[in-house]
Amino acid sequence: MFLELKNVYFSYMKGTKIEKPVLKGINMSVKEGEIVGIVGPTGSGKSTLIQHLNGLLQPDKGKVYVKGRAVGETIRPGRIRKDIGLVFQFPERQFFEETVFDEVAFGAKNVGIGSEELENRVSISLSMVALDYNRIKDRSPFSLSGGEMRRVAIASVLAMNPEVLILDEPTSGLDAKSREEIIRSLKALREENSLTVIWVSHEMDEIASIAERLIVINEGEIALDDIPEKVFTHADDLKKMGLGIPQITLLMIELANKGYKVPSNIFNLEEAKTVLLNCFKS
Amino acid sequence: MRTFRLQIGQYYPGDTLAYRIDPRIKIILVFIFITALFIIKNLLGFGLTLILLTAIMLLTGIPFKWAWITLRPLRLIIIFAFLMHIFFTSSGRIIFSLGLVTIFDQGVINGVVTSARLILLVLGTTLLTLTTTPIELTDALESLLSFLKSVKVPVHEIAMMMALALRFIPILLIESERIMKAQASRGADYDSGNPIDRAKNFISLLIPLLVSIFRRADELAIAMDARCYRGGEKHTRMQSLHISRVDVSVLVFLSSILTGITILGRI
Amino acid sequence: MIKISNLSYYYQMPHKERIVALRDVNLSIEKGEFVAVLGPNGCGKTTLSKHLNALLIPREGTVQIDGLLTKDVSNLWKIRQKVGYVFQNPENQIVASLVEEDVAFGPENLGLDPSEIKERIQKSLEFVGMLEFARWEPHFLSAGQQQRVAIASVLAMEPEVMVLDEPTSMLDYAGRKEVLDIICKLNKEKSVTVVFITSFVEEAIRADRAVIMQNGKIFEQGYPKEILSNPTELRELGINPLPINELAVSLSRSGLDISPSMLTIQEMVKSLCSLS
Repeated sequence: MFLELKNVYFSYMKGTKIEKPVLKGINMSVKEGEIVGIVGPTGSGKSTLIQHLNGLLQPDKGKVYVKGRAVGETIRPGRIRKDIGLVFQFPERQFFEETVFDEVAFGAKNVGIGSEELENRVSISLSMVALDYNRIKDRSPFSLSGGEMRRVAIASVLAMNPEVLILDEPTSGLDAKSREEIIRSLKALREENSLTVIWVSHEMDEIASIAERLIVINEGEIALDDIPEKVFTHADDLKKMGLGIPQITLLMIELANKGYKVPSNIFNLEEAKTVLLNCFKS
Repeated sequence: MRTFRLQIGQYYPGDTLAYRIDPRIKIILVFIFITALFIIKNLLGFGLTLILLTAIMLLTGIPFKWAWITLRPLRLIIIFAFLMHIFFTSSGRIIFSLGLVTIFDQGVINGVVTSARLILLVLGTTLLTLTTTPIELTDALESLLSFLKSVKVPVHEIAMMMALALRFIPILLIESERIMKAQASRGADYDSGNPIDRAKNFISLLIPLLVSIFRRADELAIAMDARCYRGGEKHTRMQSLHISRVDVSVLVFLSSILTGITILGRI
Repeated sequence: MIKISNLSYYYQMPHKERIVALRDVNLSIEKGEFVAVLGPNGCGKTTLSKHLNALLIPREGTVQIDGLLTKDVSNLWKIRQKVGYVFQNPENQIVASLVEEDVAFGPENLGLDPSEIKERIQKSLEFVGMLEFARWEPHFLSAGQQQRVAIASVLAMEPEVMVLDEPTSMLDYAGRKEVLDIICKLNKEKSVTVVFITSFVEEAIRADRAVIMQNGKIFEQGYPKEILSNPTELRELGINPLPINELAVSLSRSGLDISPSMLTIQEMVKSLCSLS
């Protein structure tokens, strides 16, 4: 197990009378090289959960393990932040440098990359998100388009050369084209570097096409943890939680309800096409 | 992420007498209260003030824990002030001496007085903010200071700025925490490192925050424009302020008590 | 209600540079219509929407709201009362520290009686389903709830037109649904003319008319069913087509006798059922 949370509990304002429990006994694990999607409605504890994965927060009860070592005991929380890169939602809000180069280099410098290696590292990080190093390195990060800013922000975390990349709603607020660019870059990234990726989202359509495994979190507890096909068999529960379901899946459910022999948990276009052609082509 | 932190100026919804008193009266009372605090110098005075505040707190119906929550973040300052007095006052009789450390009784007395003043000051002003909405506060201040308009002071604009600041302080606090976490996730270390690194890390917090403030101010100004805000006086108010007999009675009553306590606090 | 004629606009940048945002745009919107405007970032949809309440004045051409020219400064406040504007970021359009005080802001600026203001606050918050949160501080609300408050705050000014600039882009699925339902209710029950800027096709299909913009011009406009049902074209325009639509096209090409331009699940189910 690469990353593991065992029985993690966490509350805000612990010890005061306005204590608010956010995580209530989380058990989850991520294997090396996996790409896992975490979905949940607002207030489910998603953000709190991922902040435990990179050591920003420590559990009140329970333990977090990174490569078998308990965070907070065998390994300092600050130390794991360099191996586990967390990209916050709207990461372009953390920009402060004058050039894209410096912004991306910030992460690299913080993990001790010396000035000789720096240029190489920045260049590689930017190419990982499909940005042209020479065209962009001297520009101000604030002068870029929304999609470009987002990718620079991701590159700045990649510059630490982490083994795990956690992305909190990476396509949030972007238009269709930019969303596609991000998804494409991340898919390519994973294939080339066999990075472990954890993708937090509430966009079901998007995440269903990317993740190998979906973890559904609701009200601080893990509701479902399985491959997307299995998760979508619980469509009613997902709806009750306020989560959207891929359109294709909704279609399949409707048809299944009407008595047609179609699996109701498909979300992939090609699969749906095959199934429907089989069913309806006379 | 909504965390239910109690911030400075937190309003606690309610409907008891304290909430219905004209906010201008409340501000005047707080003013009198603060003046009294700095005149009082004996424990009797502070003790009576504490009893008074407790009584008022009971009447508001607000749970006492809110008072504690407001004081908690300030306990370091209070302890610090107390220790400053203890270690750096050198008048009166010596009550303790060990090596380089000499403590005088006057230092202890001054420390207690200062700490008491700080605590009571915070409690008193908290009572005000717990029972008065930010708009009520700024409307009240605008009204009280309106005489300055005759000397061309932009009283309304200042009041509006204060109201907006109160609106955005909680947001900015949440945002700075977010920025710190985001930078920490890129390896920024706010605890250790040499002064140069620390300064750099401070900039990585300050600049995004400033950018955010400017962006928000810009968007907010346009939104206010879109809702027909023209600057200057508001034409009408949802709640207009008017002084009633109850307000005057409360003012007279509490001022008298405070005066009495002040007199007792000087003997 | 709204008449846009030969509208051109450019943003003046430093060093005499100009960024052209709108080129000779012509558009008419009838009273009570629900119009959705789509297009990729940079197509000019936001710039266009800002002309509707005179936040921007045309460089060339005219914009008329109910006969009032936006160029005419004396019309400014009348126009801004007629045309309410809801912005993308819920947080930065809420002015006050309490929900009900924010809803009061607009009416106060209009100089209404305190009793009238209180009544409008009540009605608006009720309409958006946020009445119980009247004395809450906005930053304790979810983004979807904040956006509903923002809508209530604009509603309280009783505008005839509501312009919403991507009001759901920062919201999650549940939040988006809440906002969209309110907007449809507004249009149907109160006959408010709605101009809705979005990049999601699934939101645009609830409109009476869809307008697609590209490079500062109107590329196409018509019934959502007609102009938002060509996946290849939409992708080229930088808009993500609906999965159902793509599926319909794919199935139709493979020989199934169904219309390729379907946008909803109900249609698809009906078509498929009628095959067997």
